[in-house]
Amino acid sequence: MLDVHLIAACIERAVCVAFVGALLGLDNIAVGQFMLAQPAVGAVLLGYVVGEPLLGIWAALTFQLLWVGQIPVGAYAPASAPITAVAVVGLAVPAGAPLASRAVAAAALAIPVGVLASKLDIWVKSRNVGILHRGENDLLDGRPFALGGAVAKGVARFFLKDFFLLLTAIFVGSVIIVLALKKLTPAWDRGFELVFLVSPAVGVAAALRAYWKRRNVLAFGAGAAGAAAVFYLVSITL
Amino acid sequence: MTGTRQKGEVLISRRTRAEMVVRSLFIQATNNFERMLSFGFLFALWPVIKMKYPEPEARRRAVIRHLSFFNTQPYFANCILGVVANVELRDGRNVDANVGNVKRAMMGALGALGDDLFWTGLMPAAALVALFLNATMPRYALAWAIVALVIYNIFQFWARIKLFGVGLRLGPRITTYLKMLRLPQFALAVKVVAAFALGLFTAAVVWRAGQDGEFGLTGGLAAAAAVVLSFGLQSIGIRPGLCWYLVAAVAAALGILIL
Repeated sequence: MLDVHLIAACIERAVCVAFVGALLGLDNIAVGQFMLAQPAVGAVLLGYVVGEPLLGIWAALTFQLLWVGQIPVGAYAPASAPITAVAVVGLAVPAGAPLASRAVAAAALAIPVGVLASKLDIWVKSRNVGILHRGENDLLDGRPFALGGAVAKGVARFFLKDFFLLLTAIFVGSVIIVLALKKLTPAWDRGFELVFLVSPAVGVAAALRAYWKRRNVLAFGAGAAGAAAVFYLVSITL
Repeated sequence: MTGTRQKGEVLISRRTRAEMVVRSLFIQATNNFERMLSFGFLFALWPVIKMKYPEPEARRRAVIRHLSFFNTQPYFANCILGVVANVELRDGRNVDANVGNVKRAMMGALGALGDDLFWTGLMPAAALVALFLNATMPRYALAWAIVALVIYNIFQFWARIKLFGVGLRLGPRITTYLKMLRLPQFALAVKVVAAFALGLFTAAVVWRAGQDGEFGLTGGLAAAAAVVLSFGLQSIGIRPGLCWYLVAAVAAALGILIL
């Protein structure tokens, strides 16, 4: 069973991560696009905010590249990498289990959250048509403040969409993860540890496919060989 | 704050230009499927509309002119914003047709180029630099995030501020300037850099997994195998999210049952 303190910790983490995550999420579409929302920046920052920098780094390594080059076609909407990475940080509540187990379990639940975030982006963009129509009517009636009002409403809508999605998903998901991890034997931790190590490889493969052209593959090979040589030299020197 | 013309240059005050660039940061705030960025574009252009058309009827016509469909890459939208501001300030007659022509002619080309350059070029490249540094020296993760931000934002602010200024100065003649920049070639070069950084990051992921206290060299081999397996799975059409679950299931089973 969950104790009161643990539920309080889950709520506190859900509110904190949902607020910071929704602020960072604004950068994804609504405001700026300064790269703050990208996992390589946003998840790392969020890791520091919740006091678990390694968790933020892992979320960045795993999810920054996973959907590179994916284009929404028909009913398929690639998951939102920024929201997925934020959800991982939020869902992996520190409650007894090792970091690797929490992170992997969180990732398993965060991917559907990322998919839902993309679908909600589409929903918000279709609802924004209403803002557009009201705004243009007001504007044509000689009320110039309608422009700023419409923009503020659009920003608020994108923020609230991410905030409530993350709040709900993190609270419910973190409770499920805590309960599930309590029931697992230590052998599972070993399995999760290996998943933790190999997870970034899936994103690497996705990015490699996105850059699959002769000159890029040559550059990839040069980078990999060069780095491998440096790592080998470092390991035999130290 | 009045618009004047000197030797072919359209001048508006530095403050108005800064206001337009700041407003352009919200160009996607009302992004919608009917007219995409049109309202955000009008929001960014508003200081010029307000200045040029004080009479209600002329202002109304200008507003209607900018409510038509508009979609492009958000950073390169500033280039079009500058050109359109130039046309608005310069053209007395035919402004309706000229503004429409400029927007239609530029938004598609700059949209495709901007997506290619920023979304699949510079952003992954800057992120990969940070990822590689994080994988090798995680202690300074915050510094690496700032490195990625600096690399990326130099380019995106250049696109937003510089191209807006040039567009404002040259108007539709900006196409010559854009050709001179050879941006498509630059985008290809950026992807080569990103691929190189991806190579560095891949080696770091495998090396890091091989350093793991519990699995040792087996961890490194498992990471290398995961790259190959994921590449194969994605090549036969399995989407990356599902691919992660499959690789995770295989790795978890190996970790629990065999290794």
